[in-house]
Amino acid sequence: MSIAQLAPTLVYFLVFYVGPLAVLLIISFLSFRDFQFVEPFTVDNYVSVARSETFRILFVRTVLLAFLSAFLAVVIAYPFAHLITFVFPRRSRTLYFLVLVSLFGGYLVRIYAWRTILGIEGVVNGTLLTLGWITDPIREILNSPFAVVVALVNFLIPLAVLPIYASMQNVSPGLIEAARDLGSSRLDITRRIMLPLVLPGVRVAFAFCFIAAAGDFAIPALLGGVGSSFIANQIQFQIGQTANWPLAAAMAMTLIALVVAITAALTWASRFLTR
Amino acid sequence: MTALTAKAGTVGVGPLPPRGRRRRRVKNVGARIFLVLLAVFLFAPLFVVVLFSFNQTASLSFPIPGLSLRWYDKVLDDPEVVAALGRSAIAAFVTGLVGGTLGILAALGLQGLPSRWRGIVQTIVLVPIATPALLLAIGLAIYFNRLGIKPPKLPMAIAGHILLALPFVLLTMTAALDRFRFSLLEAARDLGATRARAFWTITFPLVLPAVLGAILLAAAVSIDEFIIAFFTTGTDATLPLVIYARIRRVIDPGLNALATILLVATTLLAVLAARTTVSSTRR
Repeated sequence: MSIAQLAPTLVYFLVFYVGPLAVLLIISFLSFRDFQFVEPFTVDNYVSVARSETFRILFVRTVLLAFLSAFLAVVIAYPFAHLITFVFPRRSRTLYFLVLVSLFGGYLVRIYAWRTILGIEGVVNGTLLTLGWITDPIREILNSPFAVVVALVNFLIPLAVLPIYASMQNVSPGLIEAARDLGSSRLDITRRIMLPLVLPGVRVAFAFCFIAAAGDFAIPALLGGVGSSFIANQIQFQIGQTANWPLAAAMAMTLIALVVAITAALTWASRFLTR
Repeated sequence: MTALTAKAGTVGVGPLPPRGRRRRRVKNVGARIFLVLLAVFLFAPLFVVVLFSFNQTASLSFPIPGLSLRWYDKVLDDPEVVAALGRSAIAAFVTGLVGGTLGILAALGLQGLPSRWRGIVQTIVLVPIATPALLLAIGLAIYFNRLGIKPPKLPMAIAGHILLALPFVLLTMTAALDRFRFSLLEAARDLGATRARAFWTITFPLVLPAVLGAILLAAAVSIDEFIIAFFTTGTDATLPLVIYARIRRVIDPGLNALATILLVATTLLAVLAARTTVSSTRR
């Protein structure tokens, strides 16, 4: 009975998740000649990804800015989750609800909004000009790594709040109370009670954010300008302009390998925090 | 707060002493400021878009001279926009229906599995959340291309949307079923109810809010989705794709109206989804 109920979903996964990713992996090892993907299998695509200076810059930039954005999102989400759990427990439902709604509301609308706000003819410049505080619009706000990070953090915060908030529900206030009564210092409570219980949630939050940011495409494309494009934009270029799917696939695979490796390393390193 | 009340209780003081209360209020000022700043950061961008969508003129600076609905008139007269609205609605509907059905069935199936298997299957189904959407997008695009399905069309994007929505449906449904007391069913059966009657009078009404919430959530995921649609639909643009294509052009105040329509659609679905699921947890 339960197998029959699970079967449609598992088949769906096989066909629309495993299938596409397997094809992507296979194609990344094919050669690209005369706009066709042909055998023999080769690692040439990966070699050209590793050798190219342009690609290397893009990978480094993607990983750095995604890392920074995920870090900032977690740093902002943690106190928020703490406040709604322990300081304002009566309002937690409402506040959590607002965050949940903003998670599903307006990915592209937000990007457009940041363009409206930060652009040359945008809200910030327009208002400053109207007020006479500046005479020429500031061009450097939009199309910069700054704009990319602001928009990424804005979009990631709800994603970071959910797992951290969920893990904080495991911390019973009585436990902290008991530790305090038994003479534990604030630092001890944080290190020995809060961290071990909340750290799994923080890890998941960071991983979600890092993965989502590193694979993002629209934010660097629309807010980043030439100097801040991500590897995803190069992948789209390879697909759209040269139809070089094998190279695009190899880049995508390299990106996911990098992201997984960095996340795994961080997870491993974070174990020492609670020792 | 809990700490202070608990301490007051143990020494039998009753209500908190004024000094403690004052100190607590001062303490929370920082917290309140943080919450307000965060709310501004999260919602100001959306507020700006909504506000300028009602602007009388085309300028994008404060203060705005007056309110009007002209940009909505302009946008809703645009056949490209109307077509995209229709496609987004279809995608959301199908994603909700198919994603909801698959996810609900799977959640029911999970309940019947031994716990070891349950963990494994649950992890498998949650994996798309942790997969970069970009990877899924180009994977699906090349997959359909290899299968000989071209040119890319809306159904391919919907296939991807269902995949993205499934984990959320499953999480919502599993949470609801975990709270469901199966002893109620046993009691009903012991009292002589048929299996069907027990389902319709007990299981169905108790689980219904979560089911509706899960379906609405799936629809919200679909309406807001950009990257899979971008790589798979080709000329069948959904609403986010129309916005993407127009963002790069000269400033077009009509975009504010378009973005507001998209925002209202997703937010409405998300609010309804959250409300129905929250009301089911309260019970």
